[in-house]
Amino acid sequence: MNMFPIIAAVVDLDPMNKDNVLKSLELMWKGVLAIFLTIAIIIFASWAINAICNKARAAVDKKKAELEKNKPVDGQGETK
Amino acid sequence: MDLNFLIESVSQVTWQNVVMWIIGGVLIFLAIKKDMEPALLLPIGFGAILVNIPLSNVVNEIAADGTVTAGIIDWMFEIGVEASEAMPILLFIGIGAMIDFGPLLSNPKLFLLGGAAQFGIFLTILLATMIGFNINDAASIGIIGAADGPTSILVAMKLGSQFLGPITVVAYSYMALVPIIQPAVVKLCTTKKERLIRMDYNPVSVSRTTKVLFPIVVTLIAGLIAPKSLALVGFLMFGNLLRECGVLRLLSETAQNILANLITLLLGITIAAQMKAESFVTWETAIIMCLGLLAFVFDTVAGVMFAKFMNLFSKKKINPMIGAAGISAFPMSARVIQKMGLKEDPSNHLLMHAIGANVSGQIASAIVGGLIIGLVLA
Repeated sequence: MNMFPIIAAVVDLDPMNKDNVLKSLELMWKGVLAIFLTIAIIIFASWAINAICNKARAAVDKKKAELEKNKPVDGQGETK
Repeated sequence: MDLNFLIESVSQVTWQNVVMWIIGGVLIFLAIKKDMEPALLLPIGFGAILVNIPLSNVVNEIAADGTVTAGIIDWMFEIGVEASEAMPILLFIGIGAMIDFGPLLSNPKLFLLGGAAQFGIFLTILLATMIGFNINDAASIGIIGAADGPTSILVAMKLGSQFLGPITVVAYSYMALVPIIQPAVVKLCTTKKERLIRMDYNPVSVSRTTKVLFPIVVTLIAGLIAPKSLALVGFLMFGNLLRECGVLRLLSETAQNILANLITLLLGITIAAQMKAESFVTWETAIIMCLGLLAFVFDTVAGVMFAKFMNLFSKKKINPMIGAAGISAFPMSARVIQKMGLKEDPSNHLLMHAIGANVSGQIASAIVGGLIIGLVLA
């Protein structure tokens, strides 16, 4: 089998091209920084949403419990 | 009587066509016999055979006078992938509708593992440029490490990579090989003691409101920081909103089943348009296969190492194997980690933690895809 087409194809690539390598290094630091920044914001937002929703739910539950406590018994008006 | 027309196609068969038939056959074999991503590998494999039959009218035919007659597979590729990237993006609605972000929301720090497991993408891009690929092709090759087929297709398309076919095939094939690749790598990076770390699952309750707000908030954050990721993240989150809103059960089920299946079916055979022998049987394809494998390995190592790093500061230790599930091969990677955990200690169930890391990888890979598109095209 003639290996030249294969070798030629490999030679077509441009190994250790300084511009490309520098671009990829730039892509690396910017990409890694951006993904961690985005994730940090999402983590904070998730935690905040969860905390607010749980707090709101706890408040509603508390209110319900209070209403339940003050509910009239056997139609005789308010509980004593 | 001239019967040459009967052998006209046969006489034009090249050895490269035969190689593609064999590749198609292997993909079909893996799909049927080994049950490896059959929904994808079977259509891709059959398509590879279909487009490599000389004079086939499933691909565009160019007459002697230069007139082009559209072939169905080339047409589907031009309309469904090339013109709008519609197919991979629409698939994300289905994926989003399948995902329950509950385990992640009850332990948001698992998000970090999803981010860390994307590091291999950037390392592979660096390696690819050192080998000699230009930055657009290198970035498209690196994204294979995201273990996310639609993202790989979208990035390769947006960056105009000439290697879309090999990249897609490699991305989907290696996703199917996660159960083989990841255990070996995880074992190499962890000690027995680390693999035995127990993680109790005491989920914080996550309200429905949180689950409904989450996709909207993630869309806003990802869109404001990495607007180029919105096509992926936005549709992923739209699918998830359909699931969590609670009032669109039928639409959610349609997205999870009918839409996802239909797109997967068409996407597989459409991608075969890029598997024509003349552009596929090249030395570069072999290099891309090696780089794709390295991308998977680097991502897995990065996830595991980051989990170990988190353990330095955390009171509740994380089993480092969970880090490997930070790639977005969902839910395969999480299942692999669960199995590995049970193998080490039959009472250590890591599934829910692994699922949390896995779904975070799904979001992170889509964001990284968008970031790469934005940064390369800037």
